[in-house]
This record gives sequence, C-alpha cells and structure tokens, in this order.
Amino acid sequence: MQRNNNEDRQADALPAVGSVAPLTFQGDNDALVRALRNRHPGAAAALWDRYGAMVYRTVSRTLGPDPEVPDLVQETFIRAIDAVRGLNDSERLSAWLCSVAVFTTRAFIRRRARRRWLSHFGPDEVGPTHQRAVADEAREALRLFYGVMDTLPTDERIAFVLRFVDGMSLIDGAAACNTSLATFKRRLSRGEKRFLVEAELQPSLRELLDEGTRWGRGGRT
Amino acid sequence: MTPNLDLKALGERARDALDAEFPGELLTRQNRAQFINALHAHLAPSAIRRTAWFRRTFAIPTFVAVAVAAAAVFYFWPVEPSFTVAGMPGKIGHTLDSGQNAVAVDFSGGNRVELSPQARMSVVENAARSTRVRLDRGRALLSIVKQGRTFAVQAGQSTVTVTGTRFNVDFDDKTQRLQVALFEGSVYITGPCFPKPHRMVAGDHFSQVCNPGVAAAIPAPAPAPVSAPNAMTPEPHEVVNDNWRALADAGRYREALHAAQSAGISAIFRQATADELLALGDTARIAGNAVLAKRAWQTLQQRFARSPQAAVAAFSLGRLSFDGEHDYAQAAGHFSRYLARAPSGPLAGDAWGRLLQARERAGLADVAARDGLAYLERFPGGPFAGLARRLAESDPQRR
Repeated sequence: MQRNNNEDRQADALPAVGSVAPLTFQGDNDALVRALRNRHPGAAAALWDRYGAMVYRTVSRTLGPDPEVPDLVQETFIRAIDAVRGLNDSERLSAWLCSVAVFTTRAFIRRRARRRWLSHFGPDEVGPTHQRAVADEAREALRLFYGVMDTLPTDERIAFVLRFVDGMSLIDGAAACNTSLATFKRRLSRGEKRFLVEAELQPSLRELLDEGTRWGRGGRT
Repeated sequence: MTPNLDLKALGERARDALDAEFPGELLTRQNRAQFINALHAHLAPSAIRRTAWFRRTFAIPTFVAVAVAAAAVFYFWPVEPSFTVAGMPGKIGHTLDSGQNAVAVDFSGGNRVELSPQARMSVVENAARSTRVRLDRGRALLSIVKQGRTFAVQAGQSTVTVTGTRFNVDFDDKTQRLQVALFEGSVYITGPCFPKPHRMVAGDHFSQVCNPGVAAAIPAPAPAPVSAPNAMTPEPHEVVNDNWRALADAGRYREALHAAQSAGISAIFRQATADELLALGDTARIAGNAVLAKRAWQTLQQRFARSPQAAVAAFSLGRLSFDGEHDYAQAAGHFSRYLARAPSGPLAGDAWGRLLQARERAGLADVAARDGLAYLERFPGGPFAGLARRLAESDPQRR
C-alpha cells in the first residue's frame, strides 16, 4: 500500500516536468495545404486531427456499419495526401476531403461487388457485407437498411446516402460526387425509387419501419 | 406503408444509429500513429513503383546479382564508420558550433543530423554497432536509417535512443528543457527523470525539464535498444515484458493481450504509464476482453486522476457501459465525467452526443431535454443535432 502511494506520487510528479502531446501544426487550412504539398512533417497528423471524425462519418454513412470503415478512412487520407497538389482552393479542403472519401468508398463498394461476382462459385470466400455482431435492435435496423442499400447501383446509393443519411444539400452532394447538379438529381431520383421498391420486398425492414420502434423513437412515444 | 416513407426522417435515424457507433479511439494517439506510419510506408516506395515495368523487364536479375556481390563485399570488407561535417571529415569528440548557418552531419551508414543555427553538438561515439551524439544546445533534425544499429542523442540528463526514424530534438541548456518531435517510427527516452524508458510514437511531441541539481545524484540507466523491448532497463524490483505494446501497435491485439497477460497484468497495472494503460484498455476491448479493458481504464483513473488520459478513459468507459453492458445510466455518468474534465477536449462533441443518447435510453427525459438544448447551443450543426432537437422538443416541462 505504501509502495502504491509512492508510485502514485512519482507518477503524478512526472507530468509536472514532462508531458507528451500530439505533434502540433500551427496554421490555417491554407498553411496546412502548403505544408502537405511540401511533405512537412506533422502536416499529415494535423490533417488527421482536424478531419478524422468528418471523414469517418462520411465513409461510415456511405458504406454502413462495416469492419472495413477504419481502413477506408486511412486510405482516404493517404489518397488525399497523394492528390493534394490538385487542390486549388484551400478553403475547399473540407469539401474536397469529403469528395475523396466518397470516391474511395465508391471504389471499395465496386471492388467488393466485383469480388462477390467473381466468387460466385465459392461464396464462402467473401463474407456478407455487414458482418458486425448485432448487439441491439438499432443495429439490426441499420443492417437491414444498408442491406437494401447494397442492392442499389453504386452511384445511386451514394447520392441517396449523401442526401438522406448525411443530410447534404443537393449542391454539396453534387460537389462531393464531382458531378453536375442535374446528374446528382437524376441519380437521387432513381435511387429513391429503387430504395422504395427494394424496401417493399424486404418484409423485415418494412416491419421495422412500420413499427418505428427499433430506431429509438416510436417505442417511447 | 413503405411507399409513403419519410426518407429524410429515415435517413436521420440511420445517421443517429451510425453515429452511435463512432469509435472515439479513432482519434487516439495509437490510431494516429498507425496512420502516420502507414502513410510513410506508402510514400517511401513511390519512386520505385514508377519504374516497376523496367525492373520487371530488365533490371531485377541484374540488380539481384549486383546486390549479392555488394552485400558480400560490404560484409567482409572492414569498413571504419566515419562522418562528415558540411562535407568535410569530422572527428570524434570535437565540439561543433553551427553559428549563424545550419550544418549537416552525414554518417557513413546513411544517418544524417541537420543542426539548426545557434546549436552545438559533438559526436561522442561512432562505432560499428552504435553512434552517440551529445546535443549541448539548440535544435537538430535527425533522419536515422533502420539498419540494426543504435543511434542515441544525449541532451542534458536525458538520452533519446532510436534505430530508424525522423525526429527533431531541441535542447535549451539554460532551462534544461528537452523537446522531441517525432515524425516517423518510435523512440525511447531514458534518463534520471524517468523511472523507466519513455516510449514515443510517430506524431508525438514531448517536452520535459529535467533538473540536473536534483537528478545528478541518480545514476542514468543504460540506453535501451528499440528493437528489443524485452531488453529495456527494468525497474530494479520487478521485470515487466513490454512486448505487448509492440504487438498492439502492429494491430495484433489478441496476441498483445496474451503477451500482457503472460507478463503479468497486475505488474503492468502498477507500473504502466497513463498512455500504456489507455492503450492496454483499447487493446483488451478490441481483443474482446471487456472486463480487462474496464480494469485498465479504472486503474488509469485511479493512478493518474488529473491526467488528460484519465478523461479519455472516462469516455472509453462510457462507451463500454453503453455498447457492451447497456447500462445507460452508468454510461451517462462516464460521459459527464469526460465533459467535466475536458469540456473542450477532442472527444467533447461525441461525448455530448453519447450523453444525450445515454440519458434518453436511461429514461431521464427531462435531463436529456436540457442537455439537448445545451448541445444545440454548442454544436448547432453537429452530428447529433437531430437527436438533440428531438429531445429538446419533447421536454416535458415545455408542454
């Protein structure tokens, strides 16, 4: 007990003279973009700190609950740092990163669809899309929701998710997809129609949506 | 009926459910370090990739033959390690003062020290297995090649030991403040101010004042090679295997947990630093041992109650209570504790959001409604704004 007290005192004393903190990068987005272009040490870490949560959310909302999300977040940042020379306006850094995240996820969804098609004769090699253990009903509803998403063509799925799950405006959604507003609207419209048709074919999802309890709202009202 | 679905409301609910899954550990030091190391690994071979077609066609057989011959010559030829200072041969023990200009010191193995203006250093040892330099004052940027030999920088009473990385060392001889900024890899810092070697990972910035008057009476421990964590200088009364950290850093969480258990969890709990306890908790949680994760974070809160890591531990405990144990009242308590300790911390937004969810699920509607309003004031466009609005609107006192 006495030893533990000594250790506590010693441990508490250390932060007073020495401390570890994340490596900081001072400067606004303009300085950050320049630093990334010049491969400034610490700039990549600063980019991660500033936009890690945003990129994570964009990827997870596009893909759904999936164990691959953390890897895709990392891949997004690596792609962005590779392509940062092509970013002309540093004020658009956030929107541009969002777009990189969307395209990284889109490439992954297509890759997985190809693998799934190729593994037609050996289905055990490629697991189901949403393998995370279902811990509660909200997750189950989420799994069913993204199960329907998996049936949509990739571009329509992304338009649907950006608009309805991410809550983006039509203009921001079009920018994230790097398309014209008209194209984005067309994709969104097709996505909506397909989603409703597919949702109708999924009795479990329909039941959940009609009951409205498992998404944490209707059950308590 | 499904065709009449309110897609906007549906999407909002999906967003809330997804955001509840947001892993706070994404923003921890360990994940950040993994990303930075992955980035460096990605950037390093890019020049080689550009000429891949050439190598495949012509160069690989030739290169292999030349490399084998060169390796044989290198291995058998007795080469004396040397170094140059601004292109001129350098001498062991001579003090190098950079004056007004930056000076580069290049070592024969490929290591490089770039000395900033107004800095002073000397090369103390440059042998086949190890190089030691002493930084008397000022800043030095070091690029160390991974080659199985030790490179150590002595700054005041402390020593930074490394085998392959890039970092800045800044030493103020007047205040005895040592600062280390680590860009790649990992290093260990030893000295009389550390009860055991202090490990840094990519992306860390370290700052310390080591008072030589107090510390002079304590003999400095021998520097430890980074490549062999087991060989690190242990505390005299107890030997702890530090292998689990290396395995956890490599993403091998189950093996890391097994190594920690083999080394003795109790000893780790007693001796580990706050960062190590935080990492042990994350490792245990990812490896599926929630009980051990909880113990690690609780120990961290007890031993380092005032540290920033204790706040992160509170957030992690909240997630564990929420997701693993479905004890929403307890989860709300943990998230509140995080916010009390780090109201503007990097996880504050998520802690607020999770607090709302926990209070709602715990049936604390009135408190949740109040928190919903508070959330909207702080994060009007935040990811939990939908939930916050809903809770605020359903405030029983407003009806």
